[in-house]
Amino acid sequence: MTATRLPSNSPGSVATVAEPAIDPLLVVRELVSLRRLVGLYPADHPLIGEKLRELDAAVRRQLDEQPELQVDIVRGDVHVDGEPFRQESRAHAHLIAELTELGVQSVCIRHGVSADELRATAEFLWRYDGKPGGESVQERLQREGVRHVSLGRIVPLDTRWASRKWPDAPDGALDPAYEEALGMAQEAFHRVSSGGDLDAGAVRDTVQLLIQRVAGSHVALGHVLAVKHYENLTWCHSVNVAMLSLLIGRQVRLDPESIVSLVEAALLHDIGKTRVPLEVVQKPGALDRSERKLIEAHATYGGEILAGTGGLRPLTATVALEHHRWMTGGGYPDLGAGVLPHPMSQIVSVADVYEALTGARSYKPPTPPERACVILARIAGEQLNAALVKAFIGTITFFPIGSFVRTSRDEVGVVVRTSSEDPLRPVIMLLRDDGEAVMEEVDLAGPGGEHRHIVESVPAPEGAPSLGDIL
Amino acid sequence: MTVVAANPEPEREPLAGWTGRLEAAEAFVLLLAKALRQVHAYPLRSQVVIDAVNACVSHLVVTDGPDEISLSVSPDTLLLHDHPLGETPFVRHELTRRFRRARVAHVRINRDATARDLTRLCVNLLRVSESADRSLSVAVLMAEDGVEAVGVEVTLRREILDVGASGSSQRDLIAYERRRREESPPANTRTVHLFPPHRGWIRLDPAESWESITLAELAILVEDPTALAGILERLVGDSAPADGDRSLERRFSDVSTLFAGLEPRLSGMMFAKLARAVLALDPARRQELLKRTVLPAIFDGRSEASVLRAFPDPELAEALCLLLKVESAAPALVASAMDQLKLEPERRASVLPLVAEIIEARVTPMLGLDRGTELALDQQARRLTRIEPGERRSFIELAGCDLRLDDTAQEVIASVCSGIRDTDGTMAEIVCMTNLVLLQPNPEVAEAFVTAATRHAAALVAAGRWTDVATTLEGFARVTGLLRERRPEVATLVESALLTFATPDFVAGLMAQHRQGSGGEAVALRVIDAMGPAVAPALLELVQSDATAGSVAVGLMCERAPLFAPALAGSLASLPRDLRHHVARVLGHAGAGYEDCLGAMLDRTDERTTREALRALSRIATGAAAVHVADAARHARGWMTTAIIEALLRFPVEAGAPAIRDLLAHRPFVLANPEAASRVIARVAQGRVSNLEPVLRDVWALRFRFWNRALVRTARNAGALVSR
Repeated sequence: MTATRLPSNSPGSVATVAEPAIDPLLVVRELVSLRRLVGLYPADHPLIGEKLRELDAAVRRQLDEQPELQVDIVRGDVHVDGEPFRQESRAHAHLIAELTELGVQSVCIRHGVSADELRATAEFLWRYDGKPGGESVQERLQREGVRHVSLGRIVPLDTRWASRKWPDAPDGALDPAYEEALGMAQEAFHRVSSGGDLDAGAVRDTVQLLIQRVAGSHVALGHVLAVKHYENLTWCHSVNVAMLSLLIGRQVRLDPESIVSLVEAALLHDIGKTRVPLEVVQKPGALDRSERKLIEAHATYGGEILAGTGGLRPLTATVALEHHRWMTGGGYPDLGAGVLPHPMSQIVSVADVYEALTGARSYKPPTPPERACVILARIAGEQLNAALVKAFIGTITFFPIGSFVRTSRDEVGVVVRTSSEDPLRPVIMLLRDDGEAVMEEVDLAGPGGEHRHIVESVPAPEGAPSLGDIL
Repeated sequence: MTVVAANPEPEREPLAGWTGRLEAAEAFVLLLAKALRQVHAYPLRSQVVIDAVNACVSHLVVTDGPDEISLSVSPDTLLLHDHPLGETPFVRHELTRRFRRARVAHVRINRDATARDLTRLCVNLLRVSESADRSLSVAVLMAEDGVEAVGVEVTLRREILDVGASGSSQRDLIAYERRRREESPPANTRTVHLFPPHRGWIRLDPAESWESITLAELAILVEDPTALAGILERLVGDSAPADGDRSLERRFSDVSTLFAGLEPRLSGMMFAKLARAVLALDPARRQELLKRTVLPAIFDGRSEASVLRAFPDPELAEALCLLLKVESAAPALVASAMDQLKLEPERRASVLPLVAEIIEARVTPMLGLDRGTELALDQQARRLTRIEPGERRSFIELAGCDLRLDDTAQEVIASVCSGIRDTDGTMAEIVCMTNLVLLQPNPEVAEAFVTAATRHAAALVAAGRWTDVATTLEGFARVTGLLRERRPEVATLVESALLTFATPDFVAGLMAQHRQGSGGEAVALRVIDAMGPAVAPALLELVQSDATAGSVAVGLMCERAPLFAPALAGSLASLPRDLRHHVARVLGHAGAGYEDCLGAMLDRTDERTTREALRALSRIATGAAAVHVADAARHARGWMTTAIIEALLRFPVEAGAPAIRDLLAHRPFVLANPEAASRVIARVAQGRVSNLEPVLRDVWALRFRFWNRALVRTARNAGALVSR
């Protein structure tokens, strides 16, 4: 490569003269023009020298106040130093097309670039066929002495991610009352999400159904307490939280009237999610600021919906508003320093966290109950009321009814009864190797359980009988 | 040479109900542009702005057509279903240009949009289009303002992410990763966008043949977890963070998710890099990251915990022992954490002694345990952390959870139950409504909650539940205070709600409550504090109509004089004459700052007010107050002179003496009131007053006026003081 001789009035002198700001695209246009000239004319042609001088001057003016100039073309739109640069000009359209045809959609020129490097870049571009593969362009440019110019190709970042798809409701045979409650809750949620009003009468009926029939069913409790291999963040979750709240309420000996209020509040605590797009609710990845705000707004939306609905109990809206508030005053929404959640909200929060943990999510399988209990214990005191957590775990135990467990003898069984006195040693119903139930109960805390203990929770084996059959 | 063909005329969308009404839409766009210009040029409350915005609203109301106007923003013009609108230079300059600067792609204006909605659109559009802060978004600002009738879609800023030239090993890894995914596509999955689509663009070497880069491939290309976190931060945030470490902390979960999605061996390598990046963090920040994100993930089964497996043994032991600082549970959790990490037996065996050492050396003393407990803990740690071959896993962490419902827990549970049982429904609803008002940015929506809460509060007043009334009004006052800066419109609403209680009947009830005693005074004061000076007119009205209740009311105002004084002083001119002496009393209790106001009340024709004002001035007892009293004395006659002298004598010597000296220097006063002058001389003699002697000599000079015996006595007193 021959050294280029520049006229004496350039380039250094140009850099020191204060000139008005120039179009950053001028640099690219000059580079493309120079490319054509070096391809069409002999190396010492005066037009080349003139164009190089102009390019060098333009570059120096641009780099006078910034370390580098980067021009990117993304889908036909020009970006200068990362910012969209809009200037309608047919000349720019041509140079964009010319560069893009070469497979070059980005040019970066850094401080310290010499006229020789600019010329070498133009010559390289003339020779470059734009075909991908082979040695990298960067290495080839460096071999030709170009250290301060880089060329690039812009491709889209594919942000799609395969996340686990779970059913959106429990499958298999369900306790009829539980199934009916799910149906009623689904209807109520659909009604609100489609712009209708919440039917307070239907809510009262669902609450009575849960208290009078569902809570008395071991099978239904098994559905609620064990891991849930479905992802439903609205009505199934709400029915389950209502049931779990009911368990806590009974454990702490709430009076019947308060229990009714508690179940109603728990059933509707997430009604605000009907105003949040499902894709945001289920999004497994990072939420941007507006998405995060939207998710957090569900508590406020819930409070607004319920406060505007006649015929509900007084604390129902409060619980919807506060169920993500922490015992230390954190959480959301921000109601001011020192504002603690109402005791009823504290109960629903415990149930809500447990239900969320033991349910499936697109980004994680359901957490086994015993592990969920450990997590509850971990966040007790800060997020949750520690005494209520203790009462809750004491009620459901680490291996609640309906959980499939493996024993130290490598047997699989289903927990059919629990004892708060010995939460690690429930009564289990053993299954045969083929998954069918063996009608043999083993009390792990009793004489038959001396040589067995639970090793881990396991998913329901293939072909395992339904909880209804076992319980 | 590339020839760019002219685009054929694009096929336009149907006008969706705007057929034949384009002129109306055009007119609206023009009105909106005019409103924007006025908002830009004049204060929001100016009539020009109000008129301009109202013109837009009226136009929306009277125009026939679909329920909303939906405009897309093209480079030069606005499009209503592909039909250009606003092609005049004025609309381009005022509206289209600002939409583009604010990166607005689409705007939807409902026909029921209010003046506030359109004003907020103009304000936010101006704010964003004129700001250099790239993180501002019209859509977010509109949402924060609670505007639902105007929807704005913003074009996402494109992030061009330079990953540099890739090496051959990276190309191989990417090729391998692509093959792996093609050969065994994950089953039972749904595809979601982990990050906003169309936002990130990767700058590659032109020789690379890839047509797009997936997130997993990005992780391979970038290699450095900190740099990767910075890139992910740019994809989510609205501006590039300055600090790479901070990005790593914030996007740690995302980086872990990407690494965990790679082929297991490659994933292990990437987590090893991540571990190095975490260990390179400043110790305090590393601990915070471990405590907040990594350690909890062990038990939640999330991928962030995988980084711990790549920690060297000593650092892993240190990290695990952090659990004891975070958790309330026993050291059992440390062993459990090792179970969860599924460490190989050899690794576990080498980490365990390190953990035990740390527990013994640092954690036990940190917990402040005595010798006995220390031993027990040590034994427990040893027992719980032992390796038991043959058991797949243990539940030691469950044993570590203290589930006993001890006395404290029982007390808490009892308080929870009583808290629920004793909750008053009306109060619960009021508190909830008040909180909703606090959160609701849109005053039109907030108004419904304010109205409902006010209705409930009125029921409390009617029921005479004054303690609950006080709590409710305190809640209102709190919301007003919190929102005054952030959302003045909502704050004004709540203030207006408070004002509805400022009636004579309400304050009469309140005074009756005050007179009852047994805590009623405190409740009344709480209500007064919550309502603030706005309740003053009602109190004064009560003072006029009911002497008994009025005296209580004045007493209350005196007790909270600093609260009421500014408003009372400001409205003095308009107050009835028979209330002025009450106001004077309150001002006297308010203290310094009201001397001029009280001085102006010294009026010979209103004896009651003047006497109260004099008492108030002597209560304030500043030099300025004394000056007002002394000035009044110069022209006083009869009862007023006596009252003034009494007031002057009540001033502390230091505060009153200079004014008294000046009064004595006023010869007409001494000549007209020699006995009064004699009393003030006696008073002034008690303090050290500068330049007093010339004044006393002047008085002494009056000793020869023997026809006025009182004056002679006064002069002799002055002379005695001079000679002393």
